[in-house]
Amino acid sequence: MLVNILLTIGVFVGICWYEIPSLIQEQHWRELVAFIAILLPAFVIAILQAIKVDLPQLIPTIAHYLFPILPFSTL
Amino acid sequence: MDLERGRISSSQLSYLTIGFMIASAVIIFPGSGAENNAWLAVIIGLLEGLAFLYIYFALAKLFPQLTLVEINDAVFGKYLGKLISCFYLLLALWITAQLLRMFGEFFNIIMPETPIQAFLISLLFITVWVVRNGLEPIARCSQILVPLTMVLIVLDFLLILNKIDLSNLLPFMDIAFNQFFMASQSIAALPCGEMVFFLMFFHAVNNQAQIKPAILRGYMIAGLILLFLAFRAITVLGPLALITTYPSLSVARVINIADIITRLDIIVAVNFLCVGFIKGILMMYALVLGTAQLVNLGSYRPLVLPLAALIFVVSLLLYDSYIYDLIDAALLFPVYSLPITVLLPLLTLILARLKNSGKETANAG
Repeated sequence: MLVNILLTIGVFVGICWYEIPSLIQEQHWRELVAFIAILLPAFVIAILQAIKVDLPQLIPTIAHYLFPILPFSTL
Repeated sequence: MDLERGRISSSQLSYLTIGFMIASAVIIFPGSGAENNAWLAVIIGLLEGLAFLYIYFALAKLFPQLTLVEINDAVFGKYLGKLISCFYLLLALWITAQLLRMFGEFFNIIMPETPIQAFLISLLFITVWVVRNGLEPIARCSQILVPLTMVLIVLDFLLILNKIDLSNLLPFMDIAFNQFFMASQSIAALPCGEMVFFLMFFHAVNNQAQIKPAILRGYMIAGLILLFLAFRAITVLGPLALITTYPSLSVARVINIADIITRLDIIVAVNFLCVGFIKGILMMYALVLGTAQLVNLGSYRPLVLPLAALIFVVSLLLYDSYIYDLIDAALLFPVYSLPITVLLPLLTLILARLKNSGKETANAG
């Protein structure tokens, strides 16, 4: 599990290291805010996945709510 | 603000259309819900999809230099337009994540001991690289990869000719109407409805007058390939086509020419690699460009890597069993995607026409 966490942190640090210096240098603040706003939720979910937190599976959840109201369900 | 300066030709647009439309169909069975009538479900789904295309053409004609996100801003205003664009972008994120996961699951079958994350990261890495380089390299990739796929599909067909059993097409229409309806809707929603994201590239086509003929040319060829793939799966595999996870792989395994040319699964893998890659980069490009336009950025390139990371984590969150992907494609996707890919563009078109006629009346008065 520790390896997974370190790998995840490593990948995200790598992405930041690749993009952020040029954005700061060129004073692209708007791009920087958008970059962080998208990367942050991805990082949180990735860490939760790395420590094996039981996150809800998206398609089974949609199926659970949609099937009872589907008019043409064939299952 | 011009985020993308690349220009593509009309023939490249045709290749992109073909690659985009046949991407998932090269491994899964198009119209499988209709069992041995899948070919008819494909025809009806494609005709319905053609009607969707005309909505997109009309929008592109009204706003020739704008992308989907900019059209929403122009028609619905700044705030409502952005909210509606969010729906499109969430769907683009969802489709890209699904395609990526499908790619990982497929190659995990060929190499079962490799973790799925390895396939996802390798495809994402190359996708990020291409998307960062802009639309022109994507279009040039399609000029090589799509003809290669088409040649391999024809080769596959020639090698399987002796195994085709036309009696597998019978009995005709011996299924419930609901089942047939959902099968045709899945064809209409899955490759055809998703074509709404082509509105993100129409502004980059060299000759705007050629958009409609180029897309229709690609649509017709892709439609024939889809029809052929459904026909091949039913006639070669019969009822087995309905229970195998990847009918195309099963068809390729049936090929046996004098015990020398056998086990040609790799053809299917190469096909999916080529066209899946084209669809993946197109969807990711639409997502990245749309997000950059949504928040008024000067360049979309800084968003490519974070969005790739988000696609990666979402693709792992989708499901724990691949069967859910098949259920989603057959039954759920048409229900939640068609309102976004068809009703929203239709509403946009009606409002844009009303606005235009209002302006003309005001000018005449």
